[in-house]
Amino acid sequence: MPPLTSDDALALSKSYRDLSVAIGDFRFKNWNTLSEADRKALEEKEWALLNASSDMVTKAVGLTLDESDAAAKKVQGAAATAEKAVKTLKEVRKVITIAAAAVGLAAAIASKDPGAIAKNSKAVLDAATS
Amino acid sequence: MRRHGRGPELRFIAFACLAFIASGCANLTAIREFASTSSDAAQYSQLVVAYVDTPSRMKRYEPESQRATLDRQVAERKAQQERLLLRQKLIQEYMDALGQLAGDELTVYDKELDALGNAAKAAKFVDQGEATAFAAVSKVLVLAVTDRWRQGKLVSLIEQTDGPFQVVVGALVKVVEQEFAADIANEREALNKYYTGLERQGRDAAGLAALAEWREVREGQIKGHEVAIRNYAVVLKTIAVGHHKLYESRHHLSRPEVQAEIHQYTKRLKEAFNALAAL
Repeated sequence: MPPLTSDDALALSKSYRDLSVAIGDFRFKNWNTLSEADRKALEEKEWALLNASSDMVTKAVGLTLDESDAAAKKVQGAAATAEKAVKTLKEVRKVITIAAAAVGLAAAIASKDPGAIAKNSKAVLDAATS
Repeated sequence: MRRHGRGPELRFIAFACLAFIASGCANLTAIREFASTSSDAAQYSQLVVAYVDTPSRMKRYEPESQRATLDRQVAERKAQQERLLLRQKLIQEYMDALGQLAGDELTVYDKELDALGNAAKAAKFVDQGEATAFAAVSKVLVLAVTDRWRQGKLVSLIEQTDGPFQVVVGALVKVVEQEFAADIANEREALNKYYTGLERQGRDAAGLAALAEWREVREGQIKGHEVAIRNYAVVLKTIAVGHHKLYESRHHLSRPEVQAEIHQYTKRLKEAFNALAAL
């Protein structure tokens, strides 16, 4: 697999941030109807995604990039689909499921495990399109 | 009496002019000024420091559950700091050398040149092209010192370095314009989550008003940071364009029209740098 480029890392950073923003918008928009537990669950995912975005910025800036390719385009596609779904969904359970899958994908990328990346990309797509 | 009084002064000026002409040196004041301003402006290190410290600042906003992640990020970014500053150091050292040669001075040996050379060999750059360019510029710098280059070698310096210099500056522009900007966008979103969450929970009017004021202060700091990013990118781009102009005009550097054009780049650099200093 080709190495993850600085541009790939930057694009992934934006995807994670956008998804974190979309989940945050959902949480604030539905603040009064969400339970305390749901708000907390969503917020935890938002921070995890925002920190994954910062990790990608660090990688983009980094002078060493020898990680195996995260099939960056595929991952970006999954994150974009998830963001689009979160923007239109009204059901909090689904949003939490998508957010959890997206956090799993971020962790898989951090672990540099191509198998886990592929599996979690699919999980995000499944959660966003089911 | 007055005329007699100015005699020695005029004789000194005439002598200085003759000596200047006899030495075969061109008056490259505009280039010296451009180089010196570039050197001063390039060493603006606050953005690198701010980037390295972002995860520490994020601790203000993020819940305790994220503390371990942020601590790891702090360590990772601290490890990047020296090499990030190295690019700025190279631009600064190179511009110092350019200014010294334009003034027909010997380039001053700086111990950091060794560090630059070693770093160029040791550093693993994302882009191999940048690694080669970095090494090429630092090699020419070392050569200028060890071979005691003077103004006559200015054209050679510009010719040998313009290509790799553009690569090094271009890489730094990308880091500043895209990656530092992405970093600050994350901080802005963290601020938004934190304050919006508190506002949703708040019941007390006075507390909410105080919160709004704090939010405004923090947003102002982030805005200042964004302005600094834009101005530093202007600084770097102006250095690159100005240097390329020197390269294009390298055989006519003493012509008034070339000097006038270089002076315009210096003016633009000073404007952007003053805006940075004012933040």
